[in-house]
Amino acid sequence: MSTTPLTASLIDLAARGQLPLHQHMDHATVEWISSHRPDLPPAPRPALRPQSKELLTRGGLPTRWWADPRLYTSLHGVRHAMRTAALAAVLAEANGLDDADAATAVVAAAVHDCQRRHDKDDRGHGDRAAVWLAANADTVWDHFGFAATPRRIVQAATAVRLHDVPYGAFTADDRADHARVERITDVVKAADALDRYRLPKLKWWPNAAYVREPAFDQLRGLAFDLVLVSERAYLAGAGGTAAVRYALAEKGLV
Amino acid sequence: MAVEIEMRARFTKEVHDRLVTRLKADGEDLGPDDKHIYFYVLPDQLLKVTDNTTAGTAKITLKGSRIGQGAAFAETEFPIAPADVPAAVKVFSALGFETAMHEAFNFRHNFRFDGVEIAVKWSEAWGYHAEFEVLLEDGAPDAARAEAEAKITDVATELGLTLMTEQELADFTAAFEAAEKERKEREQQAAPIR
Repeated sequence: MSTTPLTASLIDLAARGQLPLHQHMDHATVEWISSHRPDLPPAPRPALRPQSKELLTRGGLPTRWWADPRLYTSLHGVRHAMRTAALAAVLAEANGLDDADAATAVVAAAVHDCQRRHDKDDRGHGDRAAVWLAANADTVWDHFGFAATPRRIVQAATAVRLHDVPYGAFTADDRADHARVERITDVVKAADALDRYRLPKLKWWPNAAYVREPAFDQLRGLAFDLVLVSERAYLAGAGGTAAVRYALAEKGLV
Repeated sequence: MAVEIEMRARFTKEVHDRLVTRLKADGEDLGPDDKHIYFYVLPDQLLKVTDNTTAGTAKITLKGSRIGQGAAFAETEFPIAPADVPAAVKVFSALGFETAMHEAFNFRHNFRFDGVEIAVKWSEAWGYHAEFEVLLEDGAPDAARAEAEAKITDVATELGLTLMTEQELADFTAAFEAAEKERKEREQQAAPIR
């Protein structure tokens, strides 16, 4: 696989089947995303609970949490992490999760891809991130202003481990783990899937068939707008954290 | 050295949207003007390295007072090449100002309304806010400064905005600086990643 720096846009490279290991957003791809906006209902303006707003406005996720610093600014970097965390917070409201489960879903969503080795089909990255989360639990929960309790760690690590395993591919152990942390896991998987509007091929965009989330279709417009606003802001010169926070503010989430 | 009379207001997203609609209808739209700014907050002055990302220019600015120490800012500035921004930041940091440095990206759109320049902005620290500015010549008398402040106040009132008082500005910037200090200390003390 090539690690050659991009000389063409992601949409061109995706069309040619030549996407590199590390994939960075570009102007042509953002405008392609904009021009392919599906016929979506107007994005609702969900009201987040104060705790979720606080979690989303905590200091930006540190670069050192990523296994490869080159991925911090790539398609699976901090912008994807923050948007997924925000969408998890929105889904927590839609599903009536209590404060403890909502916070666990947001934390899990924020770190679910941090142990990727590249932006392509990196099998096992959920498993690696779950192990990493358990090993660094105090650091991660302290960052978000909470104590890392055994229950929170097990729940979040389970959701992170299962986020890249399709429901249809669950083993018996996966099903048992999922049954214990069903709602948080389903929220994290759906939030991750909703942020697929950033990907440079239409067939990779969000598909409700791969998730178990009744509110999925209602949130497509919000997810699309978060991608578009934050990626444009990033390309305008904002840092990854500022770009997503601006998008969250524009959509009235914080 | 020119003198800027600057006053500020913070507001919600809803107020921001109403304000922009009004300014586009009744003011002069001067266009987007996003900036990446490196601030060095010194005891009685503010030093800035500004990368005008939309305009494709850059500058270094020294302001003779800090936010919250009065609306009149004596200002000295000179242009630099955008490519020299990292070097300028490196020089000031090497001179010992690194601990006083904050950086922020400002999403900004400029308007002119009734003789007052209004920058409508969003930044992580300030959220949605606007900066109202009237530029006076060097040595402008106190009466001109007072007149400019009154003009800005009238314009803000006309636009339905409440300007922050000097005390509110001082409290806000002090709280931001304290939070930044705490954040930097927390980062330094964070356990190593395993």
